[in-house]
Amino acid sequence: MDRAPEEDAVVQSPTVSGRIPGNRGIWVGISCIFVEFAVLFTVYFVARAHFPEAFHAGAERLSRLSGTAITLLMISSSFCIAASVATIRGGRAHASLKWLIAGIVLAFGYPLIKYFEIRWNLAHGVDAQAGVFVGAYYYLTLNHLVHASWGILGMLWVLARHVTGAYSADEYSGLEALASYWHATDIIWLVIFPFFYVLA
Amino acid sequence: MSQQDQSPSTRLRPLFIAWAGLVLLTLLSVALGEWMRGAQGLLLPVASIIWLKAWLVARYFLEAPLCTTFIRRLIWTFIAFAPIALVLTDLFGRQFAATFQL
Repeated sequence: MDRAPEEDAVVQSPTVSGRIPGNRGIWVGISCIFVEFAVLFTVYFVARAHFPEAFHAGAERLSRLSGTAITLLMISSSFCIAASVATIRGGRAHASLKWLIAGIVLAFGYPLIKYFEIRWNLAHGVDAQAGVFVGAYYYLTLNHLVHASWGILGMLWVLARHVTGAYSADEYSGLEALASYWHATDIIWLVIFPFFYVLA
Repeated sequence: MSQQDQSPSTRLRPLFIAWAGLVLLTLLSVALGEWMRGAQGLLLPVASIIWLKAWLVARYFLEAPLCTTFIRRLIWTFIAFAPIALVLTDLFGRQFAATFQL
């Protein structure tokens, strides 16, 4: 009877087929973001095709440490948010709240590191006048930062709702919608990271 | 798929394993970038790692296999787009640039 909820393989809720994580609205937004970034990636590929030397030399000009740190923060934050959803499904609201707070703390590391990265860039001459590679880098990474900022604001809203007991094992669609958005933002960063920090 | 496989999970272990895989793949891609700096063979493993990491997030964090057909297709198409386009740019980028001059 005292079995921990996570020992259960699945929620004891009716099996669903072809579910919509969160709600329809968030998936309209995620679809738009995927299309938007597919267009931005196409700009990257066109620029890379026209200026291959600039892109081969470009990664050496950036702080790989910053890019790696942001990646590790994004995937760790995404893991915590996914754990928050998994635990609320199991009826463990307190554990879910802790995972959510951990996810938020890690997520705040992204804009913080980005701030120091941009300071480092400007000190090393990596500004908007530094060529096509750096232009594409600022274009894509700052766009991603804007979308991540919406996600962080969403996390704060979901946190306020969670603290007031809005989520339970039966109703957690708001938390799951936020999680879906954050995982989508994470996937986009996982594509951007090697574009600029790894491929040389 | 069994009845269990089609239900949203409450287990933390698969999420942790996916996270550990993501960390290892991130460090591997950084190491490859250092070891194979400027090498022709760097692009294919990096493109594969991009796809694998995105797949891990989609499979375990987003639980894409449980989603509706539209959402599943949206996710799988998006995560396949960048790695494929990256390889095509490497293979045919110069021909593309010559054909469609800026």
